[in-house]
Amino acid sequence: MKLQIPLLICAIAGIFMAVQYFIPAALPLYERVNDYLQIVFAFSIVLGVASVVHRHGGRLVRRKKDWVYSSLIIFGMLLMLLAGFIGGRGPGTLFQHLFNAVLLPVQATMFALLAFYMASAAFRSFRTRSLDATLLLVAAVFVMVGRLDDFKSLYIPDIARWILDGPNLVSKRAILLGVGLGMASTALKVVLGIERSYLGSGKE
Amino acid sequence: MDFDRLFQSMLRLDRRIVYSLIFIAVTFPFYIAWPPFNVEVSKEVRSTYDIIEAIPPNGQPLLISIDYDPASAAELSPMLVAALRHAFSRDIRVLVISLQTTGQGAGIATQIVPAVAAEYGKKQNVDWAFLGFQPNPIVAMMAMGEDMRRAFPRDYFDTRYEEIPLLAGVQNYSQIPAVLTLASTAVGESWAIYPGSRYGLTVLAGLTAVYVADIQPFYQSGQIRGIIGGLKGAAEYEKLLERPGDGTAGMRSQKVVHYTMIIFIVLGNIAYLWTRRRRIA
Amino acid sequence: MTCPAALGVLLAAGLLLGRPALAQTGPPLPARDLRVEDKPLDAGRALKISFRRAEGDIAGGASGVARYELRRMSPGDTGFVALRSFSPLEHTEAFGTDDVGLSPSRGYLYSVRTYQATGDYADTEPVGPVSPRRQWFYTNKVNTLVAVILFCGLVIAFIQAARRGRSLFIRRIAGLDAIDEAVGRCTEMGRPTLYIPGISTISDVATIASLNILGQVAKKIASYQARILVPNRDPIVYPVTQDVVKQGFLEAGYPDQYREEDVYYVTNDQFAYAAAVAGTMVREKPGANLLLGMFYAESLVLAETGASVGAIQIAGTDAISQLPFFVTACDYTIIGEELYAASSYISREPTLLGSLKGQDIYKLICIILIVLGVLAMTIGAIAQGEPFRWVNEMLRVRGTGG
Repeated sequence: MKLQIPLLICAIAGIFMAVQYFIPAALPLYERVNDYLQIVFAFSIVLGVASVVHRHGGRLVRRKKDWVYSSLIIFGMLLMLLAGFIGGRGPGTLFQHLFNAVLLPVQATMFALLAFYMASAAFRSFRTRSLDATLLLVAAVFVMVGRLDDFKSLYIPDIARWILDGPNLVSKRAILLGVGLGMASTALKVVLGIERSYLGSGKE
Repeated sequence: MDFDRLFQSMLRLDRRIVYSLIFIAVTFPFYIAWPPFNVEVSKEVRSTYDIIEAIPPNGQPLLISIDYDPASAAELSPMLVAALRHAFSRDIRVLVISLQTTGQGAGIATQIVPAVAAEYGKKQNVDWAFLGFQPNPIVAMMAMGEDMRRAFPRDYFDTRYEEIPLLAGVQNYSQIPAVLTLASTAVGESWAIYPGSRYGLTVLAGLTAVYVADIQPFYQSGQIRGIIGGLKGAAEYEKLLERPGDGTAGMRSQKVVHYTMIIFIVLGNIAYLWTRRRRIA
Repeated sequence: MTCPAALGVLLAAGLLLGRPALAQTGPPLPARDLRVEDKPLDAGRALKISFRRAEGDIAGGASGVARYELRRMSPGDTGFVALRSFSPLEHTEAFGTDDVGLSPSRGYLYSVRTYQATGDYADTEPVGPVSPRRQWFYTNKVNTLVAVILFCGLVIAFIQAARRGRSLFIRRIAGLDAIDEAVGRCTEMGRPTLYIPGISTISDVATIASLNILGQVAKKIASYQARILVPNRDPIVYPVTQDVVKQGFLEAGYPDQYREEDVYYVTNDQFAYAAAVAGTMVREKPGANLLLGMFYAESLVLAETGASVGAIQIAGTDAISQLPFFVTACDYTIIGEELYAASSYISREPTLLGSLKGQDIYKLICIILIVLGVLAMTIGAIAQGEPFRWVNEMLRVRGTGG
């Protein structure tokens, strides 16, 4: 029963979603289901907070390894929560200030690290080991220079444009088609109950 | 000169040296106004500009969806600022939402939109409004197609939908001339797949550079009518506006970094081929 | 010619030409041709309304008409209520709109009021009552329905064929074969295997595919009595991965080897997660990194850090934008739908193999249709008459309209 009920729910929901796509009169029911989905999705955020509190709170209380970092996480979370609830979220509030001054730069910094990783990956991996690797290397150089609109007399920007609009687009479309069919097949298996990995072990 | 040793050490170059050189390449153009750069406006950015330009002033609002988080802000916020400046300078009304799942897009909206609106003396809820964020993007997109009130019964500042003058007469996508989605994930695509195909909404996309190549099939098929790609796309848009901003400011740096990486790649390959030839010999 | 006579000639000329020489000064004229129809292909909640300008009102011209106002009377109303206004300055001969939010069981009356600048107005004759009607099938999606039925039919047929014992061939996928090698390497080196199930939610197909592979990998690692680390980004995927890994150890016969702290939830934030996992890689120095699932911009952070600690790396994702980073930084890359094929490939279960074959046959049909379509359009373009335009029309996927 522990397995049958989720499988049944999945089958009913999956079949409804597939069928409603073709039936205009089913739109009100589809919208109602969407409203419920919003609520379920919001609960997943709550679940995330609960997971963080459970894990890091436990480490803090039991003074496990690196408990100091866990205390920082809990402190940061409580600070933002209280700042938002007490002071509000609009411009000029503490919440907004913490967002602008801490969260935004920290996240932007992490994203900025990609520039360094990209350089080291390019230096390490873009080698003319084989024909494929050489083609990748040449295409990358053309696109990098072409995006700067330099060497127009050598038609580099035009070649870069062609690489992006031609071979790149073709291969992306082919992968998209395969991915789309793979998704449809996996979704069908999930609805039919053949694919059960989302239930964990898939066994009673 | 012992080329063998030189090229061997190049192949084993410490990552920290690579990182240091990249750091210098990124930062020094901000202090020295060099090298010169040129920005050619691409057809994708031109399409975006033209579609926004054609929106009648003080009429139906342009919908801007801030679907990115702070990590992508360096690349996408210049586009947001440029689009807002374009709209406000033409008295085009702007309706802002965020479908970034963790709500951080809403924080970006409250930081940037009021500031740009103040530059042009635009009033909240009359010339622009911010409806807040929804955690499930696709559900919100589909809900807005029938009734926007369903997705956003109140705005981010808790004002009821009916009390916002800008939204009088705005029921669903039929009253929205276009949406500009600024995204660093597949949400940009979802606008074309869901509201674009189901409701015929005109979709414009501002995306991080890495994602532009993914979205090209949608642009070619007409499902997305314009693309602003990466920092260069923002610079192109600023050129059309004739008002340089953060996008243009980053172009020198981008140029130096691109050429630095090309030099790394070329030197790495010279070293690789030299050492390989020596091994074979 | 005297002045009044000249004026008379001008007026006559204006009348003869059918255009008023002066702005409309008499009583206002009503709009024309008000039509109210059911909006097609909807849930019976909308009507399409259109009307033409009043006689003498020119598109974009100043003829004295201040605005047109569409009005509606619903059942139970005592009079007409204004819905929306239309400006005569718009450069269009006719106006149209959809009235939405209606009920399919009720009849509605409509009228258009023409206002002059003086405040005088004229109404059209009311049209109606008109009831919106529900439609029960999107007639513009027949091609999509045929495609869906064909696809499902093929998948189910091949599943049945596999269950009856028919042997089905799958080509080798190097990345999936390398998983065994990677796990073995980790065991020899006495280092753990780091498995990253992507950063997306449980509703993402890539995550489901990744969980399939995790089950097999966990079982193998358990049989070697080695260690597996699974950091999670999504709080709903986390308990699922816990259950999958625990089950893997149970099936291998080593339930006591399962360590709860090795399968853990990190954070919901993308780059905080990437930083945490990068730190894990540097501290724990895994022998193998398996990055399988949906990834976004953090993919290169993870892959490069993994490369820097010397781990063998196998990556698989359907995120096309991240594939180049994995290809450059990892030893093996599983591209796109190869990830979805993983469960079939690893388990070799007939039911799963059958679904894979069905999908492949459908892909072959798509390829044939694409080639035929391209040939048809090319011939049409050369012949300059597009005799095969119907091919394009037949294959187009339509929306339900704005």
